[in-house]
Parts: sequence; structure tokens; C-alpha cells
Amino acid sequence: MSDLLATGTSALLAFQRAISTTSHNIANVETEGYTRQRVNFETQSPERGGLDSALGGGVRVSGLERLGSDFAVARVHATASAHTREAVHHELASRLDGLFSADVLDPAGQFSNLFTALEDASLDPSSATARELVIAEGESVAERMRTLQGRLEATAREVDDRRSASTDRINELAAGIADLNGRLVEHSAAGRNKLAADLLDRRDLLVGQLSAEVDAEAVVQDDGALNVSIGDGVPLVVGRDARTVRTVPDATRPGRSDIELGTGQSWQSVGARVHGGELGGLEAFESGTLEPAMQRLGRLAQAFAAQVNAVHANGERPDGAPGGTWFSIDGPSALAASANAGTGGLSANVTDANALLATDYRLRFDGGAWEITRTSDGTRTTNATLPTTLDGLEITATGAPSAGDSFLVSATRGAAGSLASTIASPDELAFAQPGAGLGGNENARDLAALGTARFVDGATVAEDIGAMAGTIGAQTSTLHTRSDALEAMRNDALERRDSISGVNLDEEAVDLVRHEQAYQAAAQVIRTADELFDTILGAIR
Amino acid sequence: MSFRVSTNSFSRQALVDLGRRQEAIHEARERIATGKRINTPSDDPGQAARLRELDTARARLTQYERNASLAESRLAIEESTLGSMGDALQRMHDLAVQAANDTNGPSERQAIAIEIAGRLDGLYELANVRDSSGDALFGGSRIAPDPFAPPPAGAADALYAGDDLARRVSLGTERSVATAHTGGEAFIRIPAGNGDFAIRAPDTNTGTGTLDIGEVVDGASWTGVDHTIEFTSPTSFDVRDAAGNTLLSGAPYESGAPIEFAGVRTAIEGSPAAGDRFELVAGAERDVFGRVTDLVAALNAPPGGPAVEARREQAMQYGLTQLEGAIEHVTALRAQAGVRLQTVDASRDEGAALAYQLDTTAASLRDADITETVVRLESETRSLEVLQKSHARLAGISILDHL
Repeated sequence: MSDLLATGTSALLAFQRAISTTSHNIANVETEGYTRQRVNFETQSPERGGLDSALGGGVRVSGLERLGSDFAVARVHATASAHTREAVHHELASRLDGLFSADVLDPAGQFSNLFTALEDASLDPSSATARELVIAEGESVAERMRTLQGRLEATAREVDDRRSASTDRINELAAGIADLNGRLVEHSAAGRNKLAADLLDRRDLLVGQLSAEVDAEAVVQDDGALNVSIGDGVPLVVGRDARTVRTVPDATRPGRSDIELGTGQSWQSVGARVHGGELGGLEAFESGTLEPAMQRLGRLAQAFAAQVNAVHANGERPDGAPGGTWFSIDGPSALAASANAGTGGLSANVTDANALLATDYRLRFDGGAWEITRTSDGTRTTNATLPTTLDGLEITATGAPSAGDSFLVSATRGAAGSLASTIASPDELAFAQPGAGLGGNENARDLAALGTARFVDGATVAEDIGAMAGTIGAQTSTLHTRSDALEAMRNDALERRDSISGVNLDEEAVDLVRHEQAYQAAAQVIRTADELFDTILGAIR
Repeated sequence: MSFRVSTNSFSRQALVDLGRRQEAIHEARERIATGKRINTPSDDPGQAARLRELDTARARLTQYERNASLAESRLAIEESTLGSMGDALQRMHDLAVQAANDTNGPSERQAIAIEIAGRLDGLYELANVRDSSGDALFGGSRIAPDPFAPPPAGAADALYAGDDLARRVSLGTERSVATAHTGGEAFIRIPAGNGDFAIRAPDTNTGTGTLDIGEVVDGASWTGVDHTIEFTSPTSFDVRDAAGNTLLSGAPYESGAPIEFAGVRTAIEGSPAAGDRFELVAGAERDVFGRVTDLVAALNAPPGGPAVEARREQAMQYGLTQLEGAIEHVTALRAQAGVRLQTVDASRDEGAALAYQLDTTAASLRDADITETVVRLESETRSLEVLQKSHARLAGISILDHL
């Protein structure tokens, strides 16, 4: 009889646990990253041997099961990393795409207006109004190019800000994971599983958020800790220890940011080893879209300024003097890497603006010779000595470089930002051919003809801008498609994960009813035991 | 095993679907608002590039159209000015012919000379005509001051302050046209005489011989240098060239008989005296104004003996021929201006046809098909509504309602 009571009580307790677990599931239906839990039962073995051993001793909760799949979770993280990368790249690229839409900052109209103004002036070369208009259109070409470059540079600064915000979040997340690792290892040692389930959910959630920042891989250790590495296997969290990432100016690639990982005094560069998530997307945008756009714009500015100035110099001003410089533009920049040991420097100047390519050049001194890498396509040449001339650029060395020192030379990247018209007075325009009078218009016609001349690496100004916009447009369109596809994959991974671990309220409701009925039945068992006891007492009495 | 669906994935799926529909609706609305199918390059990178090319080509056509308007205005001024110039010269010629009539005495000739000289100012005025911007039309690249002025005292040639740099404009990628002849071409550098050489009889001649204007009949033998015919007696003459070669020596003279040397055929009439000379000046040029003054001078020549009369006769005839040459030259230039005008018109018509074609192509690439877009907007909106309703229905269903 006492067994019957004990059996009933065990069932009451077990179903109470089950009801409370179901309630926990229902309560967390909206909780992000929550993994549904289930109470598993097992029969309670009879305590004594003999005849009674054939009879069951009730039920007990054998464990709390967390209905999750590490595989499904890892897939969610991996797809989140891949999708965020493309989505970030797409979002930033579509902003550049927007700049080139007809009514925003596309410079083609300004160039076209300048060439039109020039040709109109050639129809009436002595007209002061026509000349004033040419000056104004020249200024607006320069201003538009500067504005566009300014927007690109603002985007570059935003990329830097976002990169540093992302590393901050990575550091918080890594610290959180390390902290949870510590608590989980303690729980696991103490055998308290119930609490651990929710901690595991929280840790998965943190790893998920980390995956949106950078490609992360998590491996569970025997003691319950989760070791997380980022990129191509750079350890970020090992047990209870989290390492820190930070953004720093790149030591060997001047003008660029790098990401370092480490603690205290010991840091290693990992910028080239991370590819996914926000960091990967920012890097892909910077090197794949933004820098090429700046270089192209700069190349156009250099070629335009050089060509217009050359033709302008062929002409004669109303006072008979030859045409002077019309557009000014900065020469190439040459930056030394911060890690350089030597005192050497580089200087560069443009020898043929039409031959310039939309690229930077990385120079490395190996102690004897100079290795020059064209960054756009990775082409390498080795020069025993400097100066050397390549792609319309002459590079000269000064001072004493040390072996391993590196430099970055660029004639194009920032050039568009310095384009300026230097002509202020209509009389400075040289529209006449040499020897002609005020009605001479041949040089104005030659200047206007630059509108259809293919001097920008074999293309006209309009064609080059078209190609620039086309490249960004095609890239944006491809990124849109890729981002959509990866989003679908991520959603699919979420579906898979949730089909295993997500809470379904209908299911829980049925469970609740089931457990409630079982609970009522168990209560009935106790009452039956009570009645049986009373019956026996009555028979005796 | 059937696929479990968690409660949250309902909402997530609904969010994804609603998001897609809303994006499609946004795109359709943007197309309807702008009327354009391509709003940023990424909407259709390939067609966006084609559109740019079309826009560039279209802008060129607009420019050529403006260039053509300017060319047309200047060429029309040139054509009418040269027409007036031809008419004025013709009137002078008619007066001169009338004056040359043998019945006219010196006083009548002088009166006519005064009238012709009076009309000379009109010629300068025409030659100094200005275009719609006030630039001298016949000054080449010199637009001011007036390119033409009468010769200063003691000089024979009209002053030309212009140059030979004609103002050209483009009518197409490979086509350009000069918008006016330069003053040099039009009025200054007109070959004198018969086109190959001019003739001259010095005042020192004492006979009554007059030299025919002559012509080059054998271009291969014509050496292009000056020649002198000198009478050694009234019945014989020598011919020498500027290099000192004697081409004919002691040739017999017969009035009106052809004289031939160095590819030239000419003749002398009348009775030259020994020592009389006639000169052939190769490659000589005479401006339009000078030709008129030459004729006026011939008309004003004071009467005299037979030798003087013969010289006057010679100058008169020569002057008339030279004026006819000027008329011919101006008329030919006017015809050229007319041809240029036609070229400009033709290229304008071609441009307009091409522009229409470009506009049509660009519109078909750029413009959104509004009907199609509106239909799609409606269908997307409807499917958004259906989605919203079905989600509301699904979200509302719970077994809990039935327990």
C-alpha cells in the first residue's frame, strides 16, 4: 500500500516536472535562440527484492533533454556569416550604384556640358558670355569630380568606423562566450543540467552573433567548453580565455587598415585571414568595389587634366600668349609603411597621363632590388635600381631603405579630389590656333573634340564613366542576386534548426493536456491508495 | 517523418514573404513614379551602358544641329553678300561698257568714271559685312576691325587686315564646313589677266600697238615666268623671258597675226614703234577693288595723240576683261557657298532622322512599360493582401482555442 502511494507520488512529481518544462517551452516561444526542452521518464526500480521485485516502483525523471542539433546550429552560423558578408557588400555597393544614377552624382553630364560649351564657344570664339560659360562648366566638372571623390572617401571612413565597431562587438561576444564557457564547465562538473540548457542556448546565440561579424567556427570540448576560431582557424576563444581583436593602420600596406588579434604586448595580423560576416563584407567592398572606383575616378581625372592642358597649351589666348594650365591636379602619392626600418622614401611623377592604369603599386625593397606589384592584377616586376618608369609613372627612390621596407605609390586613388580649374578670366582661355585673330576657333574645336577622343585608356570620357558605372552596377546586381540566394540558404538553415529545436505551441498544448491528464491520473492513484487503506481499516474495525 | 514547423517559423516565413512582396511593390511604384525602367545602373547594367552611349550620341547630334544653325546663318550672309557684290560689279561693268562706246567723249567718260568710283565704297561695305555676332565675315580669324580698306596714297592694292584662317564648324564626326570664305580667297587673291599672266604696256610706248590678253595654249611649254616682247623695228620684234633667254629674235610683225612662244598664243594689233615693249607678267593677282580703280583710271585717262588713245583703248579693254574675271570669281564663290548651305541642310536632315531613331531606341530601353508595370503592381498588391490575410488566419489558429 505504501508502494502504491510512493508510485503515485513519484508520478505526481514527474508530471509536475514535465508540466513545468512544457510551461518553460511555452514561455520561451519568442526567445531568440531558445532550444525546446523535454523531460524524459524512466521506470523507478523496486527497492526490494523477492516477490515485490516483479512490481514496478513508479516513475522518475531520467533527464532533461535539450532538443537541439549542433550540426543544424553550425549550419545557421555558417550561412549567417556568408549572407552577412554579401549583404554588407551589396548594401555599400548599392550606395555607390546610387551615386551613378543619372540624377545624383554621375559626372558624365558635367563633362558633356563642358565639351558642349567649348563647341558652342568655337562657333563664336570672341563672345565673352560663351567663354564665361566654358569657365563655369570647367569648374563644375572639377567640382563634381571632387564631390564624387569626397563621397567615396566618406564611404571609406564609414567602412573604417564600421570595422572598428565590429571588432568591439567581436570582443564583447568573445568575452561573453569565454564567461559562459567558465560557468558551463562548472555546471557540467556539478552535474546540474537544467540550468546548463539555457546557458548553452545563450552561448549558441553569442556564437551566432559572432558569425554575423566574422566567419567563426566553434568546437565543443570534452569539458563542455566551446573553443571558437575565426577566419581560417585563428583561435579567438579557448576555454575561459578570450583574445582581443583591434583595428590598426596596416604596417606594410600604407593607407589601409589591418585587424590584429592578441593580448597585451603580443599581437598578430589577421586581416588577411578573415573573410566572412560584417568584417569580410567590409573588406570585400573596400578592396573589390571602393578602391577600384576611386582609382578609376582618379585615372579619369589625371587623363582629363593632362589632355585638356596639353591641347589648351597648343592654342593662343586673345592677348597672343599661349594657353596656360587649365586644370590642376595632385601628382602621385608615395607612402612609406609604418613598419619600415630604413630612412628611404619614394617620390613619383606622371610621365604619361594617358598610360596610367587604375591601380596602386606596392614596392618592396629586398636589400638589393625593388619588387613592384601592381595591386589591381598582382603583376610583379623586379627592378635592380630606381628610378623606373611603368604605366606612365616614374618612381624615384631617396634616402636609404632597409631590406623588407615597403611603400605604396598611387597616381590615381585620391587624384579626383584635387582636380581644380585654375582659369578665372575669359581672356585666359586659348581658343585660337597660333597666329589667328580673335575669331580663330581651331583650338576651341580641338578642345571640344576631346569629348569624343579616346584618351582615357582607349575610351572617351563618357565611355570611361559609363564603364565605371557599369562595373559598379553589374557588381551590385550580382551581389543582390548572391545576397538573396544566401539569405534563402540562411532562412533554410534557420527552418532546419527550428524544425528540430523550435517551440510549436500546438505541440506544447497537446503535451500540456497529456501531462495534466497523467498528473490527474496520478492523483487518482493516490486517492485509490487512500481508499484502499480506508477499506482495509474498515474491514478490521 | 513529417517536417516539424515551429511556431516562430510561421512568422519568419511570413516576414520573408511580406518583405519580398513589398520590395516588388516598391520597385513597381518607383518605375511608375519616374516612368523609367532603369533608375540606377544596377537595374540593368548592360542596357544602362547602351543608354549612356545613346545619350552621348544624342548630345552630339544636338551639338551638330546647333553647329549647323550657325554655319547656315553665316553661309546665308555670305551667299547674299556675294550676290550683291556680283550685282554691283555687273552694274559697274555695264557702265564701263557704256563708257567705252566710241561715241562718248572724255567728259562723258569722266562722268561715268565718277559714278563707278562712287560705287566702290559700296563694295568695301559689302566686303566688310558682319555676321550675327558682329564678327567680320570675310576677315578669316580676324573679327575686327573692318578687314578691308582702300589702298593708302601711292599704293595700288587694297588693304586686307584679315588672315586665311577660315572658321570651320563640325557637322558630323568626320564632316566639317568652312562657314565663310576668307577675304583673301574672296576678294584679294584673284589671278589677273587670263589667269596665267597679266599684260602690261608701259606709258613710254610711242606706237599704237595693243596687245591681246592672250592665252596659254600649251601648258607643258609654259614656263610660268615673265616675258617681254620688244619691237626692234615697226616690223620685227624679239621675245625674251625673265631668265634672259631669247625665245624669238627678229620675228616679223603682222598686225593681228598670232604670236606664239613658250606655249603662249597672243597677238598685237596696230602699229608699234621701234623700242615699244609689251610685258607678260606671270602669276599676277589683282584684288576686286583694284580692278575697279584700274577701270576708273582708264576712263579718266586724258585724251591725247594716237599712242595715248591706243593705250587708253588697251587699258579699257583689259579693265573690262579683268572686271568680268572678278564677276566670274565672285559668282563661283557664291555658288560654293550655296553648295555648302545644301550640305549643311542635308546633314541637318540626316541628323534629325538619326535623332528620332536614337530617341525611339533610348525610350524603348529606358522607359518603363507603364501598363505592364501597373498590372504587376496590382498583382503584387493583391498577393500582398492575400499573404497578410492568410498569415492573420494562420496566426490566429491555435489548439489552445479548442481546449
